[in-house]
Amino acid sequence: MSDTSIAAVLLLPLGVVALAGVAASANGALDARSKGAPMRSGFAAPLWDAARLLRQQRRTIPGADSLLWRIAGAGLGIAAVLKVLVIPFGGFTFADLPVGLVWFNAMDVLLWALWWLLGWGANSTWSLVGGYRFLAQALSYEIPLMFALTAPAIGAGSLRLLDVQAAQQHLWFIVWMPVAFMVFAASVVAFSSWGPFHTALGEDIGGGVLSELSGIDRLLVLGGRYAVLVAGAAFSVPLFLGGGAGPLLPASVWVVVKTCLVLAALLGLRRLFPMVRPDRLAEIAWVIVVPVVLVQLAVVAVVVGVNGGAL
Amino acid sequence: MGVTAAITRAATRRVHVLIVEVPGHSLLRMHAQVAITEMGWVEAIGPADADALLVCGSPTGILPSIIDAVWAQIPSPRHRVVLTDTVSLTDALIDIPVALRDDKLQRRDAGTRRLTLDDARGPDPAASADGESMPNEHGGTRDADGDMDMDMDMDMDMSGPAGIALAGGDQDRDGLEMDVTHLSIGPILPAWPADLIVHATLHGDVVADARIERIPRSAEPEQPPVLATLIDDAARLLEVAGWEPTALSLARIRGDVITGRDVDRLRPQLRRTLVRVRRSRTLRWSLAGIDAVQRGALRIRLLAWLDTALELLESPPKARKIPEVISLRVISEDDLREAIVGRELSETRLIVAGLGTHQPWQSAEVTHE
Amino acid sequence: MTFILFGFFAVLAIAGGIAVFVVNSMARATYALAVSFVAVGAMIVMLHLDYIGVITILMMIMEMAIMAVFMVMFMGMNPALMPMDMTHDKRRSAVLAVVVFIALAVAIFVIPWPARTGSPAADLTQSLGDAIMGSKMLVMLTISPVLFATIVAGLVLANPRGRYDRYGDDLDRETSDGNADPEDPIRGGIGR
Repeated sequence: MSDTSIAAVLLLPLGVVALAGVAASANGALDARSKGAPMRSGFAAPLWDAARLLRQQRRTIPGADSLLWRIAGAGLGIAAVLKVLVIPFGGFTFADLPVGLVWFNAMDVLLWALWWLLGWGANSTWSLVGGYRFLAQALSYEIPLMFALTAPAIGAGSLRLLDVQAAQQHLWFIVWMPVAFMVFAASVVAFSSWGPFHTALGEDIGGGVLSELSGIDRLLVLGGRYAVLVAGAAFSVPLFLGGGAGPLLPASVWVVVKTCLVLAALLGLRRLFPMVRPDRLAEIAWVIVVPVVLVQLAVVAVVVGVNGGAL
Repeated sequence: MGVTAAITRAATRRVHVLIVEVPGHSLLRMHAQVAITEMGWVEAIGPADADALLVCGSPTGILPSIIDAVWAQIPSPRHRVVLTDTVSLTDALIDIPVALRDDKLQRRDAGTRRLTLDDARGPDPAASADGESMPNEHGGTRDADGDMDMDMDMDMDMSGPAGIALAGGDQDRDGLEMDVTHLSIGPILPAWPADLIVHATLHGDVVADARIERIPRSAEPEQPPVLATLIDDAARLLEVAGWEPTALSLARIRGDVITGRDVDRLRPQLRRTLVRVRRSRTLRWSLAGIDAVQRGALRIRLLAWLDTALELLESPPKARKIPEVISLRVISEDDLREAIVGRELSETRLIVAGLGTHQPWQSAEVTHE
Repeated sequence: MTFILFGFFAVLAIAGGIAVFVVNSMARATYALAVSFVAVGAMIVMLHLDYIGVITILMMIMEMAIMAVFMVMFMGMNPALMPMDMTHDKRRSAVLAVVVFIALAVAIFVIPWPARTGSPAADLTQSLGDAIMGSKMLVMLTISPVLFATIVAGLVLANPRGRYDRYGDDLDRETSDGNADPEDPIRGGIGR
């Protein structure tokens, strides 16, 4: 137990940070290509930005709730690492919770608190608007996300991630639960405040939650954002993509490879959509997406009932 | 101290520059943007994000005090440059990392900052003790005379955190009592017209009341070509709509237009971008129901800009007349005010971005109203 | 080891609860309460009731996030950020609290708790659910959406004026040009 906990404390955060850096680099490279600059300069962007932010002064604002503000910034990375704790690498998990699926859900609800606190703590109008926008968006995606998380649980008959992974021996869940996968992927993007769902950091509100952050606080939030994105993408692997299953390579490597594939897909799709504003998203999420996800759940339940287990 | 030196060098590889455009100097600003992209740098989205402040043009009128307020909010290490022409652009940009790396200079500069609100040294703080939330791009209390709706002064004797009074309350558009905040939007804000300031009274993020202030344009030696301004307007609207990759593509095309590079590739690139914007159903859904001031749907306006730009590219250069579609009805400040009151901040930003550089304004007899 | 951990969470829960009344800002009070609830959730997980513990943590964080918004909204800025004394009847309630605490503590030590018979079930969550709801499980599942609908309906009825006023009292007002749905001044996502 102590060996794995030492490994967890060291390996996991490093792994998450490394993958987050890779994702940020890839994003930077794609942005550089849009700008017409060489892709090389985009790749190194996270590195230069990190150095710049390490050197930059932090800001304090009169009347700001600094305690909550700084805690929220540091909390993003912690939430990401906590999420990754339950992911199985082959037969091995750092934390084999019998309710691993619900644990993930609890950790992404932690993000609600963190993003709002980031907005509130700064005592600035733009920041506050960003924080509230995140909550408005969260109310829209959370119910579809919870239902989408229930689908693999029904398919496997268990909330333990090792069981969910084992239930995909014959057929990966993504094949017969595509709607759940898409809703899950969209929710991952949404709770990272990234891509089409980055309203909390939107350019139209002067950077939103980021508008008053500088120095190490800004680095923690920007890095934490990518860490959460990586954690969410990594979680989709045992849920929908068969976990560590695959020929030739060991299971843990396959988990990382599949995570990278999911991240690549998200990075590619990000450029196709403009920002979705929460007031527009709300009606779509409640009136269209929730019924569709419920239908998906019904299909899964019928299949499991008829088949006596997963396909 | 190899590590410190290495970090310092790395820290100045990708400078974030906050560009301030003095109204009338948009060509200079566009050149600055091209140069910044070429150096691998990035435009900052706000003073907290900025390393350097680049003022394009010589500021006059109320601008110098606004720029000082923004300068005070930029964290160290920082550098400030005023550009007057494109000739000195490259030198000015090369100076920036040199100044940022100069530790002695930066420490001296940091020593001139105010530590608390009552500190006597350094530039004025961006907010005074009359109940505003702290820094916004413009430095709240620049609202010149007390014409603004400053009722908070009168009934708030209680001082809140850090001595800043708390917000008052008022009925919002649905009849709920909401807190009132005052926010001056612009002029130093990315993707915002450089000559416009909207002093807004907000209930949460809904604009309850607004006062429009326009900064007079100074005479610029050279105006950018119409093609460039059309693409610039479209890029601005797309950036406010949150579609950064496409806005970056348009910014690149705009840069190529004014520097005259890669002219053959311009047409297919612009056509591709136009097709992408036209086909995007998410953009159509996102902009649906938002009307540009005194003129149909916002999306139609955006597509008209891009279509006209494509026509200008494809038609022979002697067709210099600005086509009908972009010449607009004159609007007054009241028209803009009516269009944004009752709308929330994101829609307000979109409506203002839909104005375009060629928007003719009714000249007001009185500058402050 | 488990005793220390349990004690830590217990102290955290109580400290969080006290902090709710001591801090000045509504946001801090809300999140102090959240910390307290999360500590309770952790204690429940330590009792091997994993599902209930993790769900408690999940629901409490979500609820506190929403509650912070409502606290700031309804209490306005003044009590939200300024020192406000939320305690009433200080002496009487302190006496009552101490008396109840002593009574409960005495009860815990004096009552002869029954010894364990048999062994814990394999799936504690399932057996707990069976014990609480038993044969009424289907009823409980059906009642919860009804409860939710009642809450929403109550809010709608209590709202003195809202955006649906444009439909009139009987929800059948038409616009002057015969359109069945009067325009929503603020367009929602579907554009009805």
